[in-house]
Amino acid sequence: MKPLSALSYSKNNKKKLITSIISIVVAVSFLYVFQTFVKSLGESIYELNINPYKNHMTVQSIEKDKPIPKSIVSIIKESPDVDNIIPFVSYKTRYSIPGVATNASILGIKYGDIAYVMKKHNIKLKEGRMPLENYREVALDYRMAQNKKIKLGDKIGNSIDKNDSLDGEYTVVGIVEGDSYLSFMPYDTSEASINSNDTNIVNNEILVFPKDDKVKEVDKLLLNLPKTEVVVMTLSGITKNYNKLLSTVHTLDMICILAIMVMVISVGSSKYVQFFSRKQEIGILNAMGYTKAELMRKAFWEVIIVNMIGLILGVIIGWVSSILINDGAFKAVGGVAAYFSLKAFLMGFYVPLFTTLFTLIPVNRMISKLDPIVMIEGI
Amino acid sequence: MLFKVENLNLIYDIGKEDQTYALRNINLSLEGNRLIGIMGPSGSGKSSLLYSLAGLKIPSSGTISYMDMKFKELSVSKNAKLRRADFGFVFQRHFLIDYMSVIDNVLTPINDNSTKAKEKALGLLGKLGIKHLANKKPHQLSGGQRQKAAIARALINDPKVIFCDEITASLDHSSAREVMKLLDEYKNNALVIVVTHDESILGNADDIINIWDGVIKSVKKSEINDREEGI
Amino acid sequence: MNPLSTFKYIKNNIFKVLPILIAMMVSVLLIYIFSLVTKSAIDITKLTGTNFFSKYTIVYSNSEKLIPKDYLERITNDKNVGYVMPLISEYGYLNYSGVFGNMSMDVLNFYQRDIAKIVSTLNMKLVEGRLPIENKNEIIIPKRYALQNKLKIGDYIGSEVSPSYDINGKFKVTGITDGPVMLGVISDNKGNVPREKVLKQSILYSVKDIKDKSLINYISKNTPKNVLIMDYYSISKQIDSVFESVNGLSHMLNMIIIIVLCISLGNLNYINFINRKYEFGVLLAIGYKKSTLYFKLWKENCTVCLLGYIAGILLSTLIAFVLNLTVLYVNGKFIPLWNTSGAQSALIIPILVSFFSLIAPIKELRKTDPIDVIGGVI
Repeated sequence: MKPLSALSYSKNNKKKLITSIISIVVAVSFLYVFQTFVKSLGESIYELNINPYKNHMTVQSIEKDKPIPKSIVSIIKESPDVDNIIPFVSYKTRYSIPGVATNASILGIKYGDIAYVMKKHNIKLKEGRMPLENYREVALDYRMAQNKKIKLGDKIGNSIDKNDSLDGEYTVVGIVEGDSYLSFMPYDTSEASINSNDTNIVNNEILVFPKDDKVKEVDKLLLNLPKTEVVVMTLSGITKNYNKLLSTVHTLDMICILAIMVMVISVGSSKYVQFFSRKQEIGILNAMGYTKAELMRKAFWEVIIVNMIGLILGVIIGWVSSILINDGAFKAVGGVAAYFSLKAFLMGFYVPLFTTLFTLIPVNRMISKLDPIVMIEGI
Repeated sequence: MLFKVENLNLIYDIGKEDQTYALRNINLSLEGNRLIGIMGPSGSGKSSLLYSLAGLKIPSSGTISYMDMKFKELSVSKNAKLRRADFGFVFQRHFLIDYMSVIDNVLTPINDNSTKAKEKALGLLGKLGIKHLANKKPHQLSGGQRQKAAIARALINDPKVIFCDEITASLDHSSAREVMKLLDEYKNNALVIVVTHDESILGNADDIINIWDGVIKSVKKSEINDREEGI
Repeated sequence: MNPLSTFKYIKNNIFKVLPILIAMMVSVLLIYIFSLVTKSAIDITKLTGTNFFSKYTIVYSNSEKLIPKDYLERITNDKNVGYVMPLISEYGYLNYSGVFGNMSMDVLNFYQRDIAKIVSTLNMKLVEGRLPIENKNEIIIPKRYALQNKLKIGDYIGSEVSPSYDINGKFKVTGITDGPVMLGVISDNKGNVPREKVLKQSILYSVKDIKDKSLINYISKNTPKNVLIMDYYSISKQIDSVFESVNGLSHMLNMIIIIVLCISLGNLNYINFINRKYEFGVLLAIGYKKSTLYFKLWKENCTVCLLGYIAGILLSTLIAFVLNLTVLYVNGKFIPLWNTSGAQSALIIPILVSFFSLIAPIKELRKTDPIDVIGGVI
């Protein structure tokens, strides 16, 4: 190792190197974990809200007690882009993940229609059985069961848990598995049996299943229905609603940026002061004949080594921590755990990047103003 | 001609009421491999002259040329490269880098860690009697040992000119004699310029420039001077 | 000022202490602003949730079954209950987004004659327009919500207008309220459900003294299966559980900042001390005890850190003030200007950092031999 090389400096100043690296590692790993935490939160809410609407859309009569007008049902049924319409009753049950308390959907479906709906959503029965008509039973999505920490035979509903949005109590008779966070209950109504082929009696709410690759067309069809008669929810609608929830993410991003600034200022100024205290050394090297450019290069490599090592270690530690934290906070309660995100890496990368700049710019000024004579004569 | 100094003036606080002449109307030519002493009391301008010759101090007026290159025509970076290639410095304070070992400090001017370079460095340290301290850090050495390490550093790049500024000030008498003995050997290979207020160390100097209040008062040439080079 | 006083040191070494002060200031700014943002979220939950329930408790049946008569009588006759009113329904929600998070604001459906009393007891001042008339599809909304959604008197909201409104149909905004409770109120009884029937199915009662828990304890223990209660304590508990993770996040942020600062300011302090070794060596030689000098170092460090803390708090308050005036109020949002618990948790930073960042300099001072300094070795 050449005596003036950055590696030689690092070898001879291990303690200083380690303390500088630790600050960068802590900053980078924290930002990485923070960002993946926020990503996990966002993705959990996204999947919960959006996934069901990837395969179905809903149409509801504007007045709770009145059915959807026959004319509207005909328009939907007769569309060549619609595969089927299924009457349903929509229920909600509480779903909590860190920072958010929201609801997941339970579909009240006729026993005869369940198989179709499950097929369209690619849902399989994992344990137990599907609920029977006229029984207060529910087949829960496996992640909902994880979230509520319940198993087959347990009960849900606000008679059991006051915070639940599901009125009454229902026994969990089955656990289903699929991507859409959907659970199933019996089609619980006291009216006569509903036959989707019979246009005389239709329900107050229906699921609309588009044909493969016809999602956009059905989306458009439903959005054009008269809003005075029905309330529709389509994939584009729910996505728009979801995007409104992003204000929290923006605030957290601001906090992240502030945190980056804090870390850059504190780490950067301490590194600059370290250089400042080596003014004499740098001055003498200049007196010996090293040009200012060569001295700046030396400083550059010394700073880069610290920041690169800090970044690499920080990302590794951040990645490992995000696995541990997000698995525990999200995956274990039926959410989505994100371990990697480009944004997380970028945010972490900003710390060494700006610390390097924040250190090197004043160091460059210091070196360019340096007068070796001042060092020699001890002024 | 190695160095040519023409009408050199170095003035502090130019234009102000109390401007001070550190150097006044210096004219000088130096050449050849020899030992030249610059003597004078404290504040006489001897260090100013030394560092002006080294290109580290910019004169207020006049010119200094080294090997026909005028310093004021050289860019800052060319100036630096010249110092590194041709000059060696021993300062009054050792200015060794604390976190580097003695041998690494010696190798600093050439920034080379090849075996050949290390052997050369060890050779120099051996001549100065501190080879056994090669791997120690400066704070583990005595003041005299540090100064010797600094001298070795000045010699590693086989300089054409060696500038020495009060190098024996922090040394005891016997160390001072040792150091001057080594420099005396080097005068056969380079122009050695020694600034001091202690005449006793300039016994072997070929020429002694006496400077007082920024002005050269006299130049004493060596009695045994059969060379054509000199001042 | 004594020559060796802390303020004299700071006054004569402004550039040396500035990096430490600035680092402390921005760290406190970060933590404190985060606490202000979190508080704004808590304040929103109070506005849209707990403040309502500090005055009223809702009791309703979640099925066709009525609330048992004796249960209802126990409530009506309790000394802590002011009066009982029918609640036709919880009609839906309106989404209100704050700086940090969104809350669903209830839209409650009352009989027209009850609305004035509700509004006045909740201190909801009608700043514009009038109260809704029954069965005319009219609604009153809070001012912040109106600002956020750029609504004024005469505008329409509801699912017919846009799917972002979680209330079915179309309602005309007839009044805008302002106060400690954010609530949407309608009066819709097109089904002509008689008041007496609703009084047996879904009621709200006014609470005289929220601290008196005897009624709540009784009805929580003896609740029939189909009856649900929404009261101050159950709502608070629900909200607290959501904020647990936010609190966890702010503690983690605090810790990270403290670690980063201890290391970097420790570095800075160490270097500053090395540059002052002569000073301390000479003081030791003169006769100052090492313990006195440790204390001097700590006082100087602590003072700089505290000055940084104060600057951070002041700057945060200024930033919050400017943000409120320029960007937030016009969108119906806000950040509070002061948060006591946030200021207290931010205070931990300068206190801890002033101690830990001195470890290296104190160790160095312990090893310092005055003879080395005055003898010229150093």
